[in-house]
Amino acid sequence: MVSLSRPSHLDEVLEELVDDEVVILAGGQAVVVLMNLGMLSPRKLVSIAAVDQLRGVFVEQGRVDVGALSTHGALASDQRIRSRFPAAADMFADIGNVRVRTTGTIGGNLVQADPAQDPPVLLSALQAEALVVGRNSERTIPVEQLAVGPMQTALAFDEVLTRIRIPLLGVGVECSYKKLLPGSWDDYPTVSVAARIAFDAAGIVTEARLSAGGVGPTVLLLQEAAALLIGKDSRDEDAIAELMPCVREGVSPMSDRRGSEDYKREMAALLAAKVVRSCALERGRTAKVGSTDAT
Amino acid sequence: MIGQAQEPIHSLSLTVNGDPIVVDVPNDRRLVAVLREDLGLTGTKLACEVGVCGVCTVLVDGRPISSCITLAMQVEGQDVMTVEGLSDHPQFQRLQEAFVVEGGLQCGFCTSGQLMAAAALITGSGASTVSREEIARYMMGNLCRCTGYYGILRAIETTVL
Repeated sequence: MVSLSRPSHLDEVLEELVDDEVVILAGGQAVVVLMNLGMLSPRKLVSIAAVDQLRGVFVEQGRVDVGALSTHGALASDQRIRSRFPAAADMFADIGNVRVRTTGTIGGNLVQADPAQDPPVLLSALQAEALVVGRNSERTIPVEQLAVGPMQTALAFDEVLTRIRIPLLGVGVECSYKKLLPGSWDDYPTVSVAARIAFDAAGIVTEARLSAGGVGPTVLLLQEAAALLIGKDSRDEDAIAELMPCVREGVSPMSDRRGSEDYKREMAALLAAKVVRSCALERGRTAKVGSTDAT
Repeated sequence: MIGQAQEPIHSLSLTVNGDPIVVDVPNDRRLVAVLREDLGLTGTKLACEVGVCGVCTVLVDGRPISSCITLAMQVEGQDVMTVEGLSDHPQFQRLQEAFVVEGGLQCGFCTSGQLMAAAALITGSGASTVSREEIARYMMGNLCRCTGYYGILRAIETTVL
């Protein structure tokens, strides 16, 4: 039978983590599912629900820090998130189902390392980092490097993900996230793509970051495709036409009941086109607002 | 005791449908098992066991959760409402009646979950501002294989409006 501890301080959590049969329980939306499926049989569960150090949203200079225990639902309705990262607030509001959003946490979601989840895709595009604390260590890991394979992370068994650090977008930077839901019984995204694009005053792309989920063993950064956008006017459909085949070739999906490999390649390319168009559209909108508000 | 390792079985205190309950449970006992087997509240159903289908939905402090992927110990000290508790509240009683009138159920297996999710929507939404699209979006995680959903949406709509 499983033993249990419910510490209220991070130090006490770290003391509990003596081997990989000790499993941290946050919202339980991954851990208990895996236990029900017989894929996880912990010797001990360490519930971190009472560790207040892992809660909260903190607006800092140039970034927002999000406590690992923040639920998707709480982040979706947090004005500090919505005003700075509207695409992220929308993404959190649309994860799984209302029960998952009530209970599931951002930290738990990321360490589950499921390649078909929403948050790691968008957070990778946003250049977010995970703060990871061990008994005698502290390090940051870019979100796209957190998963090293399906259900495998770069964390050691004695480390805890404590916060997600999201850099602010800055002027002329837009972000977008689009997903394709299969409409099947589980409704994990078949494919999802996120973009973070910086534009100059003339609407030309100066920086671009594209990430994709559901099309590889982990979230993929589509670096070659993103590089194609630099120097282009992304409202220009020729730029999009050039981008799409590069995305199609740049992903490595597997056929499963959510769709065939070819279908997922095609959907990734389409979603990439959509997120780039969406960023360009938003840029147009904010640039207009900016010119009327100019002081 | 918080902060210390506990025996595999511990005494769990919680409130269920307004009644304070103390029950001895193993640490890994799912909430749905406590409700159905230990407390005999079999209105809550169990199907997919992975938090997807919604038939095991109950409210914890007013918010909907999947009781199949929630350990009982996670709701220690909290207020659990199951379908058996709905008729204590006039508004939720109206919801139940609307499901009957509008054809919001057929075989009935998903109904308790549908009702609990709808109850959470009604409680949390400030009522009259919810559109059919918002209702549909909120209820997306509760699967029904009989009704085609329209009866369910109508029932919630008539209760909200």
